[in-house]
Amino acid sequence: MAVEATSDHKSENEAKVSSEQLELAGKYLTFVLGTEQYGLGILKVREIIGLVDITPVPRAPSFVRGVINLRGRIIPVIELRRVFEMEAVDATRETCIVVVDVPKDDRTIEIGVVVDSVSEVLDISAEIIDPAPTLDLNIATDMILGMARVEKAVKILLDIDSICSKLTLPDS
Amino acid sequence: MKEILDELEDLASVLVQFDSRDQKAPTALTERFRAFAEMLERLDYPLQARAARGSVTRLEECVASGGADLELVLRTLSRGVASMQRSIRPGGGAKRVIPLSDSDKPSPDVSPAEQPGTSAAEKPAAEAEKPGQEECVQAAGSPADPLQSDEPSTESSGSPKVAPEEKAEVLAPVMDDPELMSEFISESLEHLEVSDEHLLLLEANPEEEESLHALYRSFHTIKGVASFFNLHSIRELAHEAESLFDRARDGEVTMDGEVMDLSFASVDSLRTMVEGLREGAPGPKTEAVCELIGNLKRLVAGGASKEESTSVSSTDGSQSNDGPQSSQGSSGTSVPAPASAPPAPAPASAEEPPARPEPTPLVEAKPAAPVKAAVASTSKSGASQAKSTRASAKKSSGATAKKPSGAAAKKSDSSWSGGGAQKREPVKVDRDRLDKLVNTIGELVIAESVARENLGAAAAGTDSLEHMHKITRELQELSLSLRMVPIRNTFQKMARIVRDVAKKASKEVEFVMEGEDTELDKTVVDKIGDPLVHIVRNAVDHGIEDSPDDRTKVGKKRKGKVRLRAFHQSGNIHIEVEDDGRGLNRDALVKKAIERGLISEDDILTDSEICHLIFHPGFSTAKEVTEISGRGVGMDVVKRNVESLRGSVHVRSTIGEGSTISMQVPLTLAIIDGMVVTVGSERFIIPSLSVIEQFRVSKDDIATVNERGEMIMVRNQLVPLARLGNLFHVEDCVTGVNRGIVVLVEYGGRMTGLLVDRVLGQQQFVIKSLGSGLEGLNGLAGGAVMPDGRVGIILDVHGVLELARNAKQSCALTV
Repeated sequence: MAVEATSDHKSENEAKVSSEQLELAGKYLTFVLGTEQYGLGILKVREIIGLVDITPVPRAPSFVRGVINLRGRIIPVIELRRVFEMEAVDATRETCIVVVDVPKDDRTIEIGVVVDSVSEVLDISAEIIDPAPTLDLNIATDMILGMARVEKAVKILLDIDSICSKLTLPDS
Repeated sequence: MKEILDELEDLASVLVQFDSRDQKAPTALTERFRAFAEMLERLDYPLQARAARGSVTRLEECVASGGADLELVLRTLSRGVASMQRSIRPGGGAKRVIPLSDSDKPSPDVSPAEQPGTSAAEKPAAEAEKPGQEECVQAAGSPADPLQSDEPSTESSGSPKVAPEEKAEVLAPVMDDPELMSEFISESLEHLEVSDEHLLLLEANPEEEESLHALYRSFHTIKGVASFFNLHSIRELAHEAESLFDRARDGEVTMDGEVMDLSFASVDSLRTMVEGLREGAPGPKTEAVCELIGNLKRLVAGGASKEESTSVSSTDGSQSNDGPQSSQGSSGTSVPAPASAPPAPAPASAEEPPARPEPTPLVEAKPAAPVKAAVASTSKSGASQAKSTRASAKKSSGATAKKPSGAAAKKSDSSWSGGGAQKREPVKVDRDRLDKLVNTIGELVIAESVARENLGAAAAGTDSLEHMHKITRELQELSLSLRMVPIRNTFQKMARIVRDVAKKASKEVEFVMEGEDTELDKTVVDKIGDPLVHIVRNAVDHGIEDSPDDRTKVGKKRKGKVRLRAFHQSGNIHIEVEDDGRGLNRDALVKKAIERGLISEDDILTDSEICHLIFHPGFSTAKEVTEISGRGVGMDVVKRNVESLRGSVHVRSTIGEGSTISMQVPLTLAIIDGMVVTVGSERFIIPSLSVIEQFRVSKDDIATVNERGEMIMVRNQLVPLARLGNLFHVEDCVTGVNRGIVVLVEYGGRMTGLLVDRVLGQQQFVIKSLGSGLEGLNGLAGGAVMPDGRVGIILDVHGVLELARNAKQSCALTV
């Protein structure tokens, strides 16, 4: 949604804030994957747990690392690195699973996302949000809500709903 | 209005506190209602006044008859009071009418032939023959129309208690209380089921008095509540049927032949109409229903005696104690109750004043007479007085619960089956809460076993852990039993189906039930209904020979027999449908399969595999597609449904003697008995239901086919071998067959061996879905939490076998 506003934005005054930016503003949970920093809307985050045993599921899509037992419920866990086609790395003590709520059909389901480490919750205001870039990046732009300039760093705001919607294509 | 509301509140509390042992209480109550009626008239609430009058009548006649159904009456009155409160309170349509014109007061010119004092409620005799027909003609119109057509045929008679304007009112169906409505729907459906049973009993034994009484009561109740809701068609049909049964129990009509058929038809029609209520307000009567009503009337009139005319005139008179008496003595003809007429207490016919919805019959009769000694479920907040009056009224009636059997349990949201077959008092519990409870207990079981494992060594020998374990186990069993209901009701429905199918096919079939007390999880019961229907239909339609003569020719009895059995065995419930008919013709099956391209001519199939061909979609050897079956759709649907319950279905048959179709379904969907195996570093769970045995093999036992498939010799049979490690791409699995174990599984009559590393053991697991998005994966049935807290993947044997068949097991032949 932020994508098509690119050209318009470039010609506008920086001070004026678009509606898309306003929509994206809010609190984000920031985390690290490799060398990049990402953000997930805090309202979607249900909890963060340390890395537990993940049972692989045979014949599942490759970015599905497996399933875990979350207090009696079994939820699938996806490997963001695989989604972004980054190399896999070994887990460290900082590796966590972020459990998010995403919509599926007319329900909400829980999915775990493996991240290298979790940083902090940031309040991201509308002005510092840029729309997703159209060029470059090995990340499909439909997975990105936008980019936020925080101090010197850029946080990539993820569209976790769209990422997880790819999950629902079973491999059979 | 305040006065009325106050009085209503008083009445409500009197009803709540009613002490049936007090001799004077009923009379006092009657007086209060009478006074109330007068007040209502004075304040110009004619509808409500009529209702109150009706209540008075009801009470009087109840007292006169010795107070037998006092409880029932009280409940009815409570409901009436509640509904009156609702209608009178500001915001509720005070008069609940649909004016025929836009103005509030219905305009007089709508009813041209009106006579002073004739109210449609009067039900004068002349309406007797006409209204049924008349209405049908107008059926397409709104409720208002039939009224118009009635008017001209109305004759003036009797003293009106209502103003002439009332007459033009037509009451619309009361649909604004969904809770009340859904209760009505479920209760009526229960009544109808019970009625089915009784009708079947009567068919075999036409003198069965108890059944006649029960039938009458059921229909009477349905009629009452229907009129309360202004459901005209339902009321009328119920009324006619009730009259028919009334004549039957008076001995004037015998329950056989057409009477029987019409009775069954009435049950079916009512069922359809009641179920249609789920969708919304009822439409006008269909032609079929009109015809049915007409036929019923005819039968009822056929046995009518002379008393009719006298009671007719008396019904025209005042609306006093005549009431229901007249409906008893005379037949439906004199109290026609055109469905459209305001169901306000037709004083004359005085059948169902709106104040008299009857929630449940207090039937001490036989089979599944449900008695809801229902403590008003706390989940239904509502918080209206209706609930409290109803609840207490029910409480007072609870004592009469004689045989509240599984039927009540089945219909209500849940039931607490307290052991022995005697006093079972079902309690209505919100289904969601029940599910939550069961889930939480499941979690407790897991947590307990994890705790045990972790603390195991340290706490070994202490009693406390053992004790906790015992209690947890007990809790688990209890929670599973919460949702258990006997399969009886489902079986009863089969009885009806056997009868109908046999009749249509002109066969004589006897239906026998065994083990109908066997209990299973309610969710399973619901889902097993349809498969059973298919199987039973098939048994009668295809299994049993085409005619009784065909049977005698081969030395069998004329009457075919279909036997339905249910029993528990090793944690599953087994249901068998056995018929003593023709049996499966193997050659015909093979031929058909070849025709359909399912197998080729050279394929060699075991006998069991041939029999299982019938489960293939689109497979049917019926020569024509009969209306009943033969489309070839039935059996594969059965198989699919049963398998979705994690069950299995098999068939055995001896030609000339009959066939048996048996279904096995786990007792509960939540728990699965599984065998834990390791493949490399992975752990899988194979449902024990599918496992036949396990053994070691050596490489000599393996034969290869085309260098691709592997097969093992098992007791002189070649069985394909599937390597789970390969199928699931597990890297560090055992490759040499002699280092692993072969687990022999069975599916659809075929056996396959699965090669795994080790077998760890067998235990019960709580089955959980694998998390949405992963559910569609072939070969995986779900996940379970293992005792150590990790997730174990439960295999779906069918899926695995399919994977194996498709996969090319190319180079995995290291030995």
